[in-house]
Amino acid sequence: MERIKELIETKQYRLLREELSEMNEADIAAIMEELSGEDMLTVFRFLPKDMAAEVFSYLPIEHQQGIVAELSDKEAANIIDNLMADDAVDFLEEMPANVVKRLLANASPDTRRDINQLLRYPEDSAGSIMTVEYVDLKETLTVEQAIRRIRRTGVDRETIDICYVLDGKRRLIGTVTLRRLLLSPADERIENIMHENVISIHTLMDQEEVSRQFQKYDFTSMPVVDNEERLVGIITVDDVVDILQEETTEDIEKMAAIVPNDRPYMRTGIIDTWKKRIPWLLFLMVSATFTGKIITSFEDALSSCVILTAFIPMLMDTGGNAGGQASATIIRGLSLEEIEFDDLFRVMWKELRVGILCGVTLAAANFVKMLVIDRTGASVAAVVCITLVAAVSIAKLIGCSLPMMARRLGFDPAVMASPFITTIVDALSLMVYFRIATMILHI
Amino acid sequence: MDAGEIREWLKNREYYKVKEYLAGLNEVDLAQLLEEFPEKEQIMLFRLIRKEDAAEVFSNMEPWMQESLIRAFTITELKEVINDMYLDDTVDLLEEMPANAVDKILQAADAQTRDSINKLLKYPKDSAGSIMTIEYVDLRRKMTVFEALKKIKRIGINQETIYTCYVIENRKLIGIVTAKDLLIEDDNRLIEDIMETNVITVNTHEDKEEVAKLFHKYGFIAIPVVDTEHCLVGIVTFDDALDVWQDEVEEDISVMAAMAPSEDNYFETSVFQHARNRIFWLLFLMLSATVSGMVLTHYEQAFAAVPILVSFIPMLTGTAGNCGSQSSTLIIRGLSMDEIQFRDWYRVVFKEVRVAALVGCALALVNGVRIMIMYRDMRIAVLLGISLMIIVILAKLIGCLLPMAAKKLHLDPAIMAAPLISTILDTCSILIYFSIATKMFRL
Repeated sequence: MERIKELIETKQYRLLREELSEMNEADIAAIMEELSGEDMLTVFRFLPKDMAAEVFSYLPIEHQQGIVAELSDKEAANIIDNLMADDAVDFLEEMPANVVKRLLANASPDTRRDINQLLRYPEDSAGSIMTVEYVDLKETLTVEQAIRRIRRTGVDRETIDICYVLDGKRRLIGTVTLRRLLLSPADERIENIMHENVISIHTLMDQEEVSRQFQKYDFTSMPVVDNEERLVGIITVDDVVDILQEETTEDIEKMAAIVPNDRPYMRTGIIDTWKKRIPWLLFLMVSATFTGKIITSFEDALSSCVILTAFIPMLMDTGGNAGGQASATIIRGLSLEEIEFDDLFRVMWKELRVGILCGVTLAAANFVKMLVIDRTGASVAAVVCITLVAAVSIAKLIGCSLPMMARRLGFDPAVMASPFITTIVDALSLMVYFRIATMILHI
Repeated sequence: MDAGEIREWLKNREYYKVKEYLAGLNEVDLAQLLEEFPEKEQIMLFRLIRKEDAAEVFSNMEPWMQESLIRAFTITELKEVINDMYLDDTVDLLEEMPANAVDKILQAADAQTRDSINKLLKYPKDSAGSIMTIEYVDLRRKMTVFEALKKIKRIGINQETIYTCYVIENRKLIGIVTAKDLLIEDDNRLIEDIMETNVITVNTHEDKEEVAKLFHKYGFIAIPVVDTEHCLVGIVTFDDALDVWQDEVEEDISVMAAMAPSEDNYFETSVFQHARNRIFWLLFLMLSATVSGMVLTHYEQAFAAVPILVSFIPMLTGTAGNCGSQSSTLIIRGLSMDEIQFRDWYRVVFKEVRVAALVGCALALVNGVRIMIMYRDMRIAVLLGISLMIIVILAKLIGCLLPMAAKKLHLDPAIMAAPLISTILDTCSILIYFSIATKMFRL
């Protein structure tokens, strides 16, 4: 990186180009991100022509836009022509329509047609992440003819590892791996060696579902078909890895009561960050006042036995943590498809027993601590400890059932995570606490 | 098609129907299908699977099913399956099986396989060496494209991947050639003229999570693994990287919910085991929460004099916890995706403080209005407003600093998540709240 900067400063452009041609495109993009706007453009201009498009595809969207703004329309169109269609779409879908039109006007007619088609698909659908550069074969071809076709057209394909066999109407009827082709006799016909039970993706499938399919089957690419089983594109595994990352981040953010954001942390402005965090905070704050009301209604009880107040934070915290554990476990189980809504009672029964086990252990430890260290006396210790067992058990029950019910009602279970559940569990724990206190201590 | 129909066929001995049906399924689906049958029928069905698919189906099964099949296999059957499996899958299998199954497996493996397995088992757990395989295609620099393709035809059937071939000289890795390159170039060209010499490699002892990140960065299908002398010892394929990545995410989510990470299926884990995964943190957090209790006791007179103060504690501690966990979650996620580095710490802090100020204002305002409406007490509204502001800023500060500090101290940042941070913030919030209250109300 220092070397690149040095070469730019001393204007040794020939050496710069040589240096760049030795590097991997992803690494070049990483370095460019760290450079100033001007330096970044210089590097881009001196990239060997055959690397420019790929380096461009690795850059974050703001830098792509920055570069395109400085290029002539022809140069920009050239980049777009050389990009794989899905990378071009990733870039263009963020731009206003008139800019897209202008950029595409100078691209080749094929590119323009392909990209316009892809831009029509809904965001986050399989259609929006697929590309059209695949190898298609006819079943009547021989292996030798197929390999010749690949040799001729393969350069521009995103992947040639899996070839797709289409019939006269462009319907997908089979797949052949390159491995199969290379290992079969030259005069064998494709229809005899192709794999017919193709697992395909529909154009409108949600991208999260797509990534789950990839994880399940370990394919390097999967075909995308329309309602009539016609092949319209393919999705490759490298795009799926990006989606997996996005979807996981989204889930984790939801579980922390944040409205999800698809931009990296460092690139989100203050106001945007504020907008993503405040909704849940407001909602949770207002619902916490309900808990406050419960405390107020037991004011008298509290003033006659003030020591009870000291244990409120501990009770609520433990309940919250227990509920958070349960909900995290269930949310994960739901997303891995190990648990389904039909298992609701099995899960609740299991969680209840886990809750009681944990609760009793915690209560025992606490009882000893309260008697020995806090010296509160047995009856107060009993109140607190019984509440502990109840609070933990309730927390686990609520923590496991809410995500499952959310899934049933079509909501994302990740929303029913710790913050939301803690608020509910807090209220219930306090009610139990004061009831038991009133009963045992006669206040 | 359901299990019932297959059972019918089995009962009526219509084995050819079963065979035909099974031959049409993907190996992953076959493994899942067999799970639904009792042991006796599993082994029957397995024997009806096409020979060439058997090993792949076996590697996709859950460990408990693999174990029961191993017990049921004849020595010949076991030999066939084991010697057909890719070595990294065999190593995975051996790691999951009990001792007697391991013995059986190693005895069934041929000498060469056994040798390779033992080599692979020597690598440290969680290293690149532990997830790699040795079934790749190796070429020499002076070969022609034609000779290379011939070699692939000859040995390709047994290799995990043939799409990237590795050029070695004296066992040292000097370049890579893709199958695509081989097909596109003329038959007479020499490998050394078309190979890529800038090869991204990993060392045998590199952490497997770092290896998985490289797949995401560069979009490879396979990465070569070299030893300290740059000799090629194996390759890691993307499907294994995906698994590593998935495991890492799940581990993070568990740790962030204050649980010991568990790889097991939810229902296969006993109530006792679930409790064990959860109890440690619950105990630790519960005992630390008593610090807040002690702080409360210190301020007994305060809330004896103004009882209403107690009712706002849940709202304050809850909000502090939610704010803190929003920050910590984002930072933990950013750290694990390498979007945030420790050296960015002051940028992060600056951002969080400003967001906190904005958030605190919004919350204080809403809360102030609420209090005026409900209680018509200006002093309390102001008290809460000020407390909220300070607490929110403190919460976001602690929420962002602790994970980064943990990373710097080589601890897992994921432990600095909601549960631990809420516990710390509880004490701070109560301290701040009551200090201000005491001053304002002159208690």
